[in-house]
Amino acid sequence: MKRYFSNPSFLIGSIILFMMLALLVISFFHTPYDVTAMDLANKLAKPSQEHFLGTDQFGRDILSRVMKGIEVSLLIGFMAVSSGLLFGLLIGSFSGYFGGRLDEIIMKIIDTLMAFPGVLLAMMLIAVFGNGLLNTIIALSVMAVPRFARITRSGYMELRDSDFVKAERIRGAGSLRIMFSHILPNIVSELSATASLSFASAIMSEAGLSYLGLGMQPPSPSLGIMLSEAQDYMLRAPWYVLIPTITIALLVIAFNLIGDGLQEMNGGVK
Amino acid sequence: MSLLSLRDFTLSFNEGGRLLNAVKNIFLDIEESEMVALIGESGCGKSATALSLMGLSNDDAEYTGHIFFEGKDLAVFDEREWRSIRGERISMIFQEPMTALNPLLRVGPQIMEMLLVHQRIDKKNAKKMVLQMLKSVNLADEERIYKSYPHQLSGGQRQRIMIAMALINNPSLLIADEPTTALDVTIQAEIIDLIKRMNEQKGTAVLLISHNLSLVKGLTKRAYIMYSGSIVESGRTEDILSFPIHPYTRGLIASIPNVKNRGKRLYSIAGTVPSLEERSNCGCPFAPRCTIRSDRCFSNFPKQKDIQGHSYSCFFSPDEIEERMNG
Repeated sequence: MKRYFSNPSFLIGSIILFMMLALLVISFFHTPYDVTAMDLANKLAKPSQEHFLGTDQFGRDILSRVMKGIEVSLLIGFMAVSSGLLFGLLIGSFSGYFGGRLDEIIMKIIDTLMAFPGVLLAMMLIAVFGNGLLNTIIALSVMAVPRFARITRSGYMELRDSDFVKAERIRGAGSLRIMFSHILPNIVSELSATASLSFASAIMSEAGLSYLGLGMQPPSPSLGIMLSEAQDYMLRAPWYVLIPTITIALLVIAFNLIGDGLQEMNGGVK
Repeated sequence: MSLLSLRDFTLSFNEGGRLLNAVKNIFLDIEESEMVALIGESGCGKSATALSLMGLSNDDAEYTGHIFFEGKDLAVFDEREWRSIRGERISMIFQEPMTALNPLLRVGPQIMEMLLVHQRIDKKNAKKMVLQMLKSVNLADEERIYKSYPHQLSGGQRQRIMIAMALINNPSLLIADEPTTALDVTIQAEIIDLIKRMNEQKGTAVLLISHNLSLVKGLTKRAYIMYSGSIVESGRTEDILSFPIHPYTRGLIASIPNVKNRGKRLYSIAGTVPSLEERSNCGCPFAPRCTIRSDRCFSNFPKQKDIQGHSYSCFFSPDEIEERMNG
């Protein structure tokens, strides 16, 4: 563990992420104001002692909304990445380990998915299934699957003919045991770096979709929604635009730095 | 009934419609608790034979003939039946102990897995058995070894781990595929001693695959000499080493440095082992490199002849070979 924190990218990324997580944990128990409580007399107020980061066009407290917004971002990012990882891992491992016709078919599908810009794909899914938390998560995890599937597949293809796998087969181990208790540990490091980078892109995509009105819906406090509402008041209340922007940027930078750090430590940039 | 018996066994690969024989019509027997050597140059089909004994040839491989093991014909086994044989009844150790262990798992649990895969046993007893096994392959400080990762161990230690792994389920046959080639000379002797001791203590039959004639001397009772996928000579190891008959075996033995030919240029067999594609399907496989070949050597495969348990496949009689080679 110490080795990891001696990597500057990983260290800085972790510190930012830790601060974000601290805000998240606090938001579970306490936010300065109710995130949907309006106070029209106090709308677009400057940062002050009552409202640390000011208020929005309905007089809602921006700090409270950002805290809940982080929760939404991280929740969606986590769900999307973990389900993308799970399915990508399953698909990639079977495809890479067994190869052959099955692999060809699966990889054609994955290539097709990858050929679409991710956000476009997510928009298509949301257009078909409707918006909301669950559908956003599903759309983002479909976006994440191809990347994980490809990385897992290449790892399995590389290792399935390695000596220790052959040796394991000679010792009488079955395919599932070889796949999941022998090959998998060898690619965890690559997968973890990819997961962190995918986390960053999931947060970006969620903000993007919500900004376009396709992800979360008002009045829920998504960072993307805040951004789209704030742009009308860019000149009157610049802090209102800046705060969600900076928050999204910090989250994305944190995960990218962690991902980069992991990649560097796993033997150089690929 | 022998423990293992290959009857007219042929292993061929289908390469673009052509059938290439990696191993051709071989007969090989191993009795219970016996140590047998299979000797030949690289690429002559030794390892292909060993892998087919584990049911692990490539997908495009085809066998004909029979592999009788403990009275059952393995040639008709399916994958599930094979798995109950591999690592349980027949085990294998390889040339490269460096790469045959999973680099990310501790060695103890890797050995333990062998028990968990093949036997109904709880982890506590399994661990006890593993520690005992480590001790019996002369790895002192077995608790520390148990917790080590492969990279923390030396080549010799890793080969001992491989042996422990191979023997922990008490298989009746151990295939040792060039077990000492990657090790340095002092360790080689220790590993060979260990294999021999295990053979004596546990009664595990051993098929020792090697290109090293001096290694098998005094170790195995019988030996098979393989060339280009065929067995060219077989019999008691001493007989083969002291009175080789087949021109190939003679060449092999003549190319070992010894006191007698000190200072002279060392004999070498001209040419190299033909690759699979280059092998001709008729005639004696050694004919192209043989110094005493005649025309018929290229058209027919010589029948196996037997002199008191010492068999060889050559058209010429031992005396003729002797005469022609020295003449």
